[in-house]
Amino acid sequence: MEKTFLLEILSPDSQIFKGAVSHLEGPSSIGSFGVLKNHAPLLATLKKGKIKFEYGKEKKELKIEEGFVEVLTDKVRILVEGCV
Amino acid sequence: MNTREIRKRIVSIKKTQQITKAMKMVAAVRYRKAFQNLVANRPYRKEIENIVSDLVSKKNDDYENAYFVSPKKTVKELLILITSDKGFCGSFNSSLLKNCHKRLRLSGDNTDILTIGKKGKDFLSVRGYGIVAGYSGVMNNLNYASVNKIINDILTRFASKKYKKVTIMYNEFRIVTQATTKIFKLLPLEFDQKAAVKSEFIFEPDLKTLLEKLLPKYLSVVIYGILLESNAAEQGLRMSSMEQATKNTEEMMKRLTLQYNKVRQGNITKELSDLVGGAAAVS
Repeated sequence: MEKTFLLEILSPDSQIFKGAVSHLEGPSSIGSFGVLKNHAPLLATLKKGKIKFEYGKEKKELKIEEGFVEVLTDKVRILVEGCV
Repeated sequence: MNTREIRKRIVSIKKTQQITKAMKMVAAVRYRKAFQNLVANRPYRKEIENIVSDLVSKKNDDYENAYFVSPKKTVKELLILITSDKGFCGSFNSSLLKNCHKRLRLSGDNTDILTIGKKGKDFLSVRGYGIVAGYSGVMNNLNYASVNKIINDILTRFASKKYKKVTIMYNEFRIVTQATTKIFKLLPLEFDQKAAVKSEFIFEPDLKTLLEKLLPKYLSVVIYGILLESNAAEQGLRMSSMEQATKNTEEMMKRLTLQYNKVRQGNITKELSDLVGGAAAVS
């Protein structure tokens, strides 16, 4: 079974990333969190830090400014002020 | 007019035409970029709006936030006027300023004005209206980070409880040939009360903290979106008005060339008839 979900990273100036990823890790304001497919709906604030995700076989890392993460059943959206 | 005068005018109009053509091309490039920026901003704006309105519909009735309350002790209004820094953009500034002036004549005493763009500041300060702050050069390099200062300024002013409401007047981006003034009520925030639609979220840390963090971001992105829209409208109007100007110079040149040829032909005919008349007198 396909284990990926759609990840979308948006900033006020552009869409930073969009694609099917299999694992996501990021710094929420009360500790780091991880998301796999079928995560329960979650809305959390993000601290400045690094988010990591697996896109195909590639492991990617992004440094982000503060923001928010919204987890829906088949989709994750990350809203950030900017990324470095 | 003799031929030399006409030729001089043709040359000068040609020079003007070169300028308007160049300005049109520059505006076209800027317009494309402004439009792209506007489109790139939309998903973020829409998403944060969805989240905020969802959270607001879920908040408890006893939850209070200064952004929702309009201070009772004051009647003052903060008006934010967004114009361009430069001219040559058709009715972009003129129609907006006309509408603004009309509004201020009714409620000028109770309004403080914050201008973004040089044209609006010049127009209003000449007419003696109180401008509390004026920003210019914002549109030259418009990005989210660069407008942070202005947004913070606006939000602190509202937070000081001196104003009952904050309103933005700007040009809406609709079509490139026409300016449409839009009046937008920024603060206090109002949301349509709608039933909670999304499935139950886990909130981290909690709803109250989330709202407190999200609301300023939401307001920033709304203001930023309006600036992007105004910029796209400005560049679009400049592009179309410069195109119109170029067309006008073409027409003028056509007319003057015709006149030039007529005068020239007239001179030749006159000289010829002089010559023929002179020859007839001699023989």
